[in-house]
Amino acid sequence: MSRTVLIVDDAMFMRTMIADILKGADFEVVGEASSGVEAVQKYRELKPDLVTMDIVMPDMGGIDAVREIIKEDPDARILMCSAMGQQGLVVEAIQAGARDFVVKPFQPSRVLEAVQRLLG
Amino acid sequence: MSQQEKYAELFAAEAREHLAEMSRALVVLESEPGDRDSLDAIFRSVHTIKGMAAAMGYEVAARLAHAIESVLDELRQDRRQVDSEVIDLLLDGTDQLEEVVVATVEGEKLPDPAVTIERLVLWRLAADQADDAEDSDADSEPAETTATSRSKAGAIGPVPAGRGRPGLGGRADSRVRVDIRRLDALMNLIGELAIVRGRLRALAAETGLNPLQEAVERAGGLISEMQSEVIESRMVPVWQVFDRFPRLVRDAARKLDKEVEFEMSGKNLELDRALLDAISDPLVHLLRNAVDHGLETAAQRAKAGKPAAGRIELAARREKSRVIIEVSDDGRGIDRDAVLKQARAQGLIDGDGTTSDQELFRIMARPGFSTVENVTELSGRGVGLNVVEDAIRGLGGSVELQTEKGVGTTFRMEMPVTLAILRALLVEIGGQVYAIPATFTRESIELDGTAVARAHGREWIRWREDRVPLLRLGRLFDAERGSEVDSDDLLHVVALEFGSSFLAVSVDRFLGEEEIVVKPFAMPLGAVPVFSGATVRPNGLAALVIDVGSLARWPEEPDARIPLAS
Repeated sequence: MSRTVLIVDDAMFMRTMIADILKGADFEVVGEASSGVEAVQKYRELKPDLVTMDIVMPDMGGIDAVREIIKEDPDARILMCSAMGQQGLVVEAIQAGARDFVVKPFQPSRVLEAVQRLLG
Repeated sequence: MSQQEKYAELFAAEAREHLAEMSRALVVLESEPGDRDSLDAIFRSVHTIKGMAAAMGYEVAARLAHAIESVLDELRQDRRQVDSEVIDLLLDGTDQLEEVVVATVEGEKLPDPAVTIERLVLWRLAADQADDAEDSDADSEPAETTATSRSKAGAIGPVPAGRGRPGLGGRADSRVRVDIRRLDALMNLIGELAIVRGRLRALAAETGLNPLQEAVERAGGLISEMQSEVIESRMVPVWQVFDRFPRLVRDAARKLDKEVEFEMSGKNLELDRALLDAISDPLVHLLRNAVDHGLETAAQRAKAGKPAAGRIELAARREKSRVIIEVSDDGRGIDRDAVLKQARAQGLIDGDGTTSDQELFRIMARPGFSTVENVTELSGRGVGLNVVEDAIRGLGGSVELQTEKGVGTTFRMEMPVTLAILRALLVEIGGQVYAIPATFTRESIELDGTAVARAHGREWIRWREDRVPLLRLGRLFDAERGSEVDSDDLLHVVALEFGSSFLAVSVDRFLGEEEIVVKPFAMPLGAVPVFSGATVRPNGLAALVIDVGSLARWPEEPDARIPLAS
């Protein structure tokens, strides 16, 4: 059975790219969100196996969204997708409960590796 | 389509949107430096572009976006304040980023953003060294926005040639440039339609068929909607003209070795394109005057206990269907006594007595007054105010002056949002309805016929303290019908002010004020030009708009007749 993913990023471009990487590895993208607020709602609704989370977004950033999701589901598996130069924020996200992070631009192999480890 | 192509297209579309958002928010941030939401929005957009560009392997775009983002981060962390210098830098950066993005997507030769990146980096480095220096710099050079208008116009204004490339799918592509004459033509056609609507309505009423009447009403509603759409489409934000003013004020201040703090507000207000073009020169004039004559030198200001940098403000705002534009300074104010003395010396006024600010303006706006050289020094003002006044009046607007010695001066211009709509006093003359632009009307009064005096071959009435020439419009427009009202009955008189002259006109009846849509009016050859256009009334009938300017020049030939247009 393929595992389910919720992709959170305010750029459709990024969501498409991540979706393509994960679909190639037998994931089912069950939802996409473009803001932190939406991410929290969709998570509640879809209970996906995995969330990929952007950091900088309108209407609640990624870190606050991680906090909200972890508050409701401490077992949530969230992979932060950060851009270069956000090390400080990544640390904060991990403290908030994210499990791992990848840095944009993504290398598909690196993304898949992180995902496998996270779900393994 | 390959995956790479799919990404490239998505990138192009989203990057475009974010660039437009950045420009929009930067403009807001410039007028409201404390606006956190705008700052965050700009940051998010450039951050998103950076991430996407990096993912696409668009290294140059990513690097530039990163440099912009770093500057924004300083601002977001409150390590540096938003000022015109950094706004300028960010607008330049955004502009350059757009060029890089476009070139990347189109596969063209990339512009080299090295210089821009360097400036962005240098700005950040300057942070530690120059906290104090920066404050004073910002004060003395408020107009440091060299490339502002170019970058903004390029980013969200009408698309400059070569910018709005097809295939980019962004917002800019959904705009077209339209010759304003086309919109005028459209406006005229709608006016004609409104006339037909009036006739249709009457005919439908005669048939007594309900469905027909309903259809006609519906069509009428649609015509009104079309009208407002066309008026809206003529609107452009005032920053398209305002954006060059910081530079202008700065240059003027430099030349005179004065320190000026210049602030603009309401830059996003929208105005009729033709109107905006028409007020551009008067504003330049008032701003230069404010720097030159309004503000004192730094030494004089120090002596008066004022901050060294003078303050000039340009504010635009909308009040209902009117636009208010104010140019104010905190300078020396106008020396009332000096102006009056000068005016008396020139024989422009006689007698003593006090003057209101508005009367002072009247005097200073007289063409004769402006030519005197030394007046500017005495009055702190005075060059070419008549030019300003004429221009604003010509637009159906008015100019007001408020001044206080030692405190400052404000010129307040009020005008309609669009040239196509006008506030007018509607009057009836010889059974016909006419419109008089309200800008010129001062008072509607009822007078006993015996109050009319004859002198110098024409009629006069007393209005307020003055003797004012009376023009009987009934007689002017139509001799026979005019003679009927030429009796000692009650007269309905409208007092008009045009430039510095007053004129009274008699009409048969006042119908009240209304907003009217003016259609330009093709005057038959050889006709006397006392009408500036026509308007269609809500009942579908046309009314002529009286050109007060030509009436004011009329009086020399009291016996002239103008055939009624009907």
